[in-house]
Amino acid sequence: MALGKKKEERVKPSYMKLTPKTVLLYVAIILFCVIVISPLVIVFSSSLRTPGNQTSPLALFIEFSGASYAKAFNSMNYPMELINSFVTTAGSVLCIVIFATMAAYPIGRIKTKLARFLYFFFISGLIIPSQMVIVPIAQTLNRLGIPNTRFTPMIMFITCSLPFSVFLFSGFMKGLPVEIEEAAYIDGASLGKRFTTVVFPLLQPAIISCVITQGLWIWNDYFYPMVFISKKAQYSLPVGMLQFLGDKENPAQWNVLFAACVLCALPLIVVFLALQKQFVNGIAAGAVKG
Amino acid sequence: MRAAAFPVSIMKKINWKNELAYLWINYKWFLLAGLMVSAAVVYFLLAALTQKETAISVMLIDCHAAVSQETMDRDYLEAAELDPKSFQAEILTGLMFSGTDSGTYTMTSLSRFMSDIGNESLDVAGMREEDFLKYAGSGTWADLAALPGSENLLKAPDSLLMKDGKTIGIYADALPMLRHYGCYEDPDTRGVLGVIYNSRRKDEALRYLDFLSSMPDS
Amino acid sequence: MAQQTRKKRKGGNSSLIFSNKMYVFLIPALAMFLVFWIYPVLQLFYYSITNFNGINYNFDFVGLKNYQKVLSNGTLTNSLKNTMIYAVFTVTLSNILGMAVAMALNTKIRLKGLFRTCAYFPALFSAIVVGFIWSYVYMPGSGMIANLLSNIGMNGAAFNPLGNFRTALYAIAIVEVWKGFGTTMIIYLAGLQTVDESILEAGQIDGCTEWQLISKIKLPLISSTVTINVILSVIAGLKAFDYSFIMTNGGPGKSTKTLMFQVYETAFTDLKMGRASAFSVMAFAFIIVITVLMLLYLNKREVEL
Repeated sequence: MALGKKKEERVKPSYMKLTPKTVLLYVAIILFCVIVISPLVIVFSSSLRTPGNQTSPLALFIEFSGASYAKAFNSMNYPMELINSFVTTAGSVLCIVIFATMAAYPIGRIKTKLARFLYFFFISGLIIPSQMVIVPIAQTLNRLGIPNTRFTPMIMFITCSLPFSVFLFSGFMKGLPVEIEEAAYIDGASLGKRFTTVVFPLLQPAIISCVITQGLWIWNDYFYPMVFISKKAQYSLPVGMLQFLGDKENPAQWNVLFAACVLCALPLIVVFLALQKQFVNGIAAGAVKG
Repeated sequence: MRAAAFPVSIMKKINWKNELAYLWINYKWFLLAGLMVSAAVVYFLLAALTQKETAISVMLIDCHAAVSQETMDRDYLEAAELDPKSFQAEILTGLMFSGTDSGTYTMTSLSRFMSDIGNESLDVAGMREEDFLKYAGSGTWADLAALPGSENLLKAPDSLLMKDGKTIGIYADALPMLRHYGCYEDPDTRGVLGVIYNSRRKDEALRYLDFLSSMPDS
Repeated sequence: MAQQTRKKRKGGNSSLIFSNKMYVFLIPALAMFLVFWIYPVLQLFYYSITNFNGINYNFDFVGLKNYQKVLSNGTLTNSLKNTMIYAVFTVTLSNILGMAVAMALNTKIRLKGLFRTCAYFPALFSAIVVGFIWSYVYMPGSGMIANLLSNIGMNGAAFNPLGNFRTALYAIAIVEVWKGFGTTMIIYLAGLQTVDESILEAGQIDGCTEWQLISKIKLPLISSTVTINVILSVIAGLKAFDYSFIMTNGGPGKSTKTLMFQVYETAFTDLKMGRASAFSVMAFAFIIVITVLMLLYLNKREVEL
């Protein structure tokens, strides 16, 4: 009975009626969104100027030209860097999800002191900023003989994401009911099968949160690629964007930088918009509680 | 007592198609991740095995070169008569310490600089004079006079930077090839180049400095 | 079956279903973590008892001199104070904002997708650009906020948050909140969506007001989400570095020098990597203590369903 009701709600969402209270809510939200977006409007308007235009970025939308975008696109070698960024991000996120959910399974379920220690052990990795340990990390990678390829930063992306992801998944896992796994055990499913068919799908909301947050910082990160990549063809998007930075000799580069920044964020925006629908449906479908 | 996981009728149809379908439905993400990890391992192995030997590793910091890194790499390999198919030169010109408003860029350049020194993989570095002297205080630079084969470079004393009796660097304006590339043209400060103290290819480093002090053809 | 459950396995406290064999699952993550993170950190600890300057590897042991120096020259207390203020500010603001927006977006209003995207937009841009833009927003006289103030008649020229050592820290904290609340909002949204509709309906039937619904039903049910978000914001806040670097460079004076900024300055600007390592070790200890305390406190308050 309840299931039927939920199905109906998903197919035909009923919106709230326009009472004064809801109108106030709408106004508040719209105002909020405007305030939040306004600094980004500066970015957008500056990116639409020609590269040489040096008037203050606060004079909004004084010209509309694609020259900065063209310049950014060409000097950054956008397609190549896009592919590099995409493969690095997608690959890292995939590995993180698998490794972290696997690691969170014993930590979230076993109740010994060892499991609690491991939980805090992983969390402690969050505290350390990468800038401080980069020199020993580079030495370790060198000693292991791992070459400086375009995918070497992936190793560090996965490693740095693990603390947060393990924390997220194990916290989520502790809130999942044990009965389903017990039922699967009684049905004769082995440990591996229990994990992949029962636990992993149940973790879906957490997985989506993890993918969004980790994918975001990995995509925008320029630190690890700059330290480990030397050849221009292997750069990722943020590194390409940084090339326009801080040339004290030609500060006009800021317009091109903004254009590059928008180009860099564009795939993220597209993916986020596309993922949104899945986001809502996935969470609503994955919410099995009580 | 293991209960059967499948009804008997399906169990009769265990052929490879069903197996694959089963694997895909249940384990697809894990298979993909495993595939990715194996692909990465293979990629790294291949990259390590087919890697061209690095002839020289140079970082020209704050130099604002007018030509691309590839041009500089190529020119050097030609001049040193090294086969571009088996050797590569790594000349980084995009790093900045003081030329940028963004502290994050400085920090990243610094991290790159320090970690490459930590790996003993950096041979020559150039930076602005004030930075150069700052790093000289930490023992970064090798004494050029003590290196065999450096007599050529040491000919013009006012092009050299001395500290505590050691010749630690050469001014960029005394290197015609660098000026041809448009490096270190800032009138407020002079650029200096030096050899890193723990470089493993000091003779190659000297050869690079010789190359830079030669006249450009065009 | 009953006989099997009564058999206690060695290795104490493990059940049949969640046997110790599960530890195998930890291997890939733990291996990477140990090799590429813990081992370098241990090297950092090692550097903290030397006089390593970051470049020259002919260094000597100096024992605990670095620690003594750090404790005695007052930089630790200053950056601790700044970092604590920054962390408390960002954590409370980011979580309250994230939760409020998530709750607003969880209701049945139109254009939810658009609002969600708007709220998350700031998070999608790189920190460098964000820092730069906000320095224009804050710029005295001709900046965005100053212009707005002048238009409504207040004195725009006197508004200089980044140049005033009392307000600079809060100004950059606001930038951090602006960029970060999207992430907390997403996690709260995920948590809110697992709240069962029927419980809320039961509460409404029982005659709860809106506020009671939120505080007595929703909040306890998403307490694990709250824990996650608070812990993450605390850690991120204590590790704050980007904006004090990009926007104020520690100034004015030393009012925006956070812990990590001080570490960076000692290591890379003053070229005293050994001392910076000692500083980081103490910073880590501090952050760990705070995090563990918060975790234990929040875990006790979690409601188990």
